[in-house]
Amino acid sequence: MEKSFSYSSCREVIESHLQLMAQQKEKKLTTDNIKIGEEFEPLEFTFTEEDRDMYAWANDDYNPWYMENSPWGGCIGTPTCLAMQTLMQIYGHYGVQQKGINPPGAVVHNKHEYEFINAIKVGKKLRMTGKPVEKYSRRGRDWIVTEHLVVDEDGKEIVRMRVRNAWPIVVQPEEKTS
Amino acid sequence: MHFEEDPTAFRPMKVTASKDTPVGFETEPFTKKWTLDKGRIFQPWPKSKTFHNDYPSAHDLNLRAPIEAGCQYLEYMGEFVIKFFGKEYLGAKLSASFLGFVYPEDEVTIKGVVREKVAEGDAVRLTLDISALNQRGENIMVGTASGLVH
Repeated sequence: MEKSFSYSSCREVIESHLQLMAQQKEKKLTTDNIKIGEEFEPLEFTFTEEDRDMYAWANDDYNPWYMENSPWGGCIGTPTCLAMQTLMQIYGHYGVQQKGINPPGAVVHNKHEYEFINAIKVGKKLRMTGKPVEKYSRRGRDWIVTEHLVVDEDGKEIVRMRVRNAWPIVVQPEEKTS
Repeated sequence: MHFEEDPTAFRPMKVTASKDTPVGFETEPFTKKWTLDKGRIFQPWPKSKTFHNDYPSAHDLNLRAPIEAGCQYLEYMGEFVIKFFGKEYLGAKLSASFLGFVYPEDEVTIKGVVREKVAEGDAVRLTLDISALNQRGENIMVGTASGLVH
C-alpha cells in the first residue's frame, strides 16, 4: 500500500509536521538524499471552515467568497493557501534535522509559483502529490526545487505549484562561497 | 460620536482587470500589517515554536525578532490576484520571489503594474509586475501574475 500522510484539516498538517520536524533524529535533508523525480508521500487533508477562519484572521482577509459564498457555490479558500503544505510535504519526506538550525531543518522559502486551476472549496478532501525536480548548491546554500499538484476528492485538479527552497537559513561567513 | 471604520474590513479594488485595462495601468495598492499575533495564528504557537512565532527561536538565528513566514506573506499575493482578476483568477499564473524579512508591526504595501497585454482569441492576457514594499521602502517580495480576461 502506498504510504501517505492523512489529516483532518489543513492546520493539522502544519501542527503535525512541525512537531515531526522537532522529533526527527535520523533522516536529513541533504543533496545526497534528494532523488530527482522520487515521489513524496502524498498529503491528504480537508480544507475546513477552521482553516478558512485561520487564514482570514492571520491575514485580515475577509473576502466574502471565503466567508459567505462564492460564484462556485459555497465558500472557498484563498488562492495561495496551500503553500505551507508544500513545505510540510518536503519535511515529511526527508524528516529534516540539522544541528544548529531552529526549527531543525527548516528551509529558506525563496520562490513560489502557482497555476490556479479550480477553486479550493471549503469542506473538500484534497490530496497533494509532489516530487523534487532540481537540486544544486550555490552561494553557500543547498537548493531544492519541487513540483506539487493538488487534486480534490472529485478528481479535479485544483492548483499546481513549483517551489524553490534553500538551506541553511543563516549562512555563516566562513561557509560563504563566491 | 465618530464611528471608526473597521481597518480589517474587506475592500475590493475599485478598478479590476478588464479587456480595456491598458499597459502601464497601476492597480490600487493595499497595505497589510503583520503582527506577532498573526504569526502565531498562522503557525500554531505555542505547540510549535519557530523563528516565525517565538523570540528565543528567532534570536538563535541572530534575528532581532521573529519574521513572517514566506507562506504567510504569499497570501498578500493571493489577495492581489483574486481582487484584480476576480473569477478569472482561475486559469491565472502567479510567481513570487522573496527578497527580505517582515518583522512584527511591519506594514507591507502591495501594488501591481500591467506590463503586457496580448490578444488571445476573444480575450486578452494581462501580465503584471507586482511589488511588495515595507514602510521603509524596501522591496520584500516581487512577483508576476498573468491572467486571461474575457
